[in-house]
Amino acid sequence: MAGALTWILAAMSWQNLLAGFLGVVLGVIFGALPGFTAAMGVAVLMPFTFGLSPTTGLMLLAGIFCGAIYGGSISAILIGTPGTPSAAATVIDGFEMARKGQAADALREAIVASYIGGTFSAICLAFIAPPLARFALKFGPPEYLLLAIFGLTIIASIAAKSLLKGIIAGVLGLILGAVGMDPLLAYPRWTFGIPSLVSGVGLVPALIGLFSIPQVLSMVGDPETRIKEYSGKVSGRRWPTFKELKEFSPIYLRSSLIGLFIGALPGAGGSIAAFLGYNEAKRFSKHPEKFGTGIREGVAAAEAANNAVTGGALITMLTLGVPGDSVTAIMMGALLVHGLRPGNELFTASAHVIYPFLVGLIIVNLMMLLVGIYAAPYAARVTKTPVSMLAPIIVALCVMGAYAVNNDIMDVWVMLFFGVVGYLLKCGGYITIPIVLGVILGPILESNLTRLLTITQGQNILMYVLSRPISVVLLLMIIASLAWPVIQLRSVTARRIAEVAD
Amino acid sequence: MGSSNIDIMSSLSLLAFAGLLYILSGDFPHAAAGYPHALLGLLAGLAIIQLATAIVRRKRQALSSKAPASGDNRAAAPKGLPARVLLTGVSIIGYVALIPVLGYAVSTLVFLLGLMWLLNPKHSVLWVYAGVAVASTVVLYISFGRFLSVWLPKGILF
Repeated sequence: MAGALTWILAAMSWQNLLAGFLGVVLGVIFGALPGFTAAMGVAVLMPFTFGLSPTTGLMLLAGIFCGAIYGGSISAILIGTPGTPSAAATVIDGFEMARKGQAADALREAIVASYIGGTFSAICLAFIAPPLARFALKFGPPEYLLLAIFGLTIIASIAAKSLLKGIIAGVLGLILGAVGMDPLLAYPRWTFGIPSLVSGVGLVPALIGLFSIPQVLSMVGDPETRIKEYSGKVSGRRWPTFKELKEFSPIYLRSSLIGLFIGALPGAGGSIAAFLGYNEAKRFSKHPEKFGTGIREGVAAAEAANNAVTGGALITMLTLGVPGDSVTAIMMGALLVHGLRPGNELFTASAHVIYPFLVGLIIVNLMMLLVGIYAAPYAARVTKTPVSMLAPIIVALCVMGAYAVNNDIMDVWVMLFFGVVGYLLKCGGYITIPIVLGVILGPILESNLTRLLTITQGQNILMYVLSRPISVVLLLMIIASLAWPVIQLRSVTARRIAEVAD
Repeated sequence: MGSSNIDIMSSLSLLAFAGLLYILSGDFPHAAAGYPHALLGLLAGLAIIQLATAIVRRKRQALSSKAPASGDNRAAAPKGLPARVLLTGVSIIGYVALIPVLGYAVSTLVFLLGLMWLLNPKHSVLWVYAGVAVASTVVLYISFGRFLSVWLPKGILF
């Protein structure tokens, strides 16, 4: 008890609080800039932590990490372009809300959900990190393969209006995800001699292109697609009501659990967590048909899941020394620079550093909530900007964002290619989210399929997969995910028939 | 253009895309070609299904006196003013092409001012556009180029 109090007091030193606050503010700005990811923000500021105490340095980096994951939702909601890949699912309902003049409500929902997801995962990190990390490491190639397939089944619910077009867009995404070196022979496929394509299509330029360019072209081409001005007052209601929190609590909890678990899986990431959280919220909703039309549930589900990834990603890094993503890999570097070795030793010999940091992670999420809540009405004023000014500025920002990933102009051309493809597909009635899913999940799917085929040479693959309990669970989840839209459609039809009969 | 025609055109484009990529993958080693070929086959199959569905739908529409059919699955395509869309598209491509020549700062300034003016050519707001373009360029240049250490392309001026 005395130890816990010491850690709380240590976390609340003015240096730690200042570092956490600065990290959050900078993180939100980084995240809101399309193309500037959490990893880039952490990498830029990591050298500044070398002169700080380990806990203060870690709080600065954690502030950037959490702030950037939330910040991605700001541009996703206001201009329909996710600031970070994690916010791709937030665009679906967030931007629709902005178009209806509810930008501030969407931003408030995003920050509340982000706070709940982030805090939930930070608490879990403090209490259940070791067993969850051990469980996450049981994921092998069959489990990752099935997880990728499970992720792709989201297309069935997202593209419910035109399933065929949704599947076509998903396959297009998988094909674009196959550009670059193949996982077995490292043979460069469809790279056309362009060096930057050897490592595959850049996710950030692809995302910026798919979301922003079609949006800008629609914005200038069709007055009806313009964002409706946010008419709320800056001094209006900032906090959600208790009733709203209670109503959304199942969504927050479900998405937070998904985000925590996906975050703990090395290589999975916030974008997958957000899409899975969104899909599950839609599946459990009493009105799934409203998802995608601009409802708060959609924003809450995606944002709670992607911010819950922050604690999940730190679990495997801190307990096992296995960084789950690029951000935690950079943070692990910061730990090592300070002479801290991830693993059990970190929680015993370096308890005076790591436990105040875990408390600090909860405080950082609280700071993020305060920054987000008070900044949201001001940020929503972006929608008051005339299209003739907003559209060129979005383009300039996107060009910079795509370029900044690798300081390579070729990434900007990749962004434009995806922009043109996205616009043409939009004209043809296709939606772009399945392409994003394909580009994200394609490499995971192919590399793990290749590994599985290598492992099971001469064996029955199905029997091998069925011999693994986690794989069986994932397989059942895939079947349920595919069957659910059919069951839902039948129940809606039955309800309508009953209504007509009455 | 009706949605059936859009679907026919998009299906044919997808088939052509799949065919082109298949030809371009001719020299892939067997182990590296299996996965992409499976995906290309799947894409071609789906495009053929969409093509057949669209042709049947168009025939039904032709037979029916109602046009377009009530059950038409019309695409949510942007209706748009093609001239403005085309102008914006060409401006964006021109902007990216100019960056290595003029440098990031100059080309961004030219692009911002030019496109703002093209989208709303009123003399009364030109000075506002000029101010916004200069301010945006300076903020982007300083925040990315200086603070975030992005190596911005330099051109003939700076």
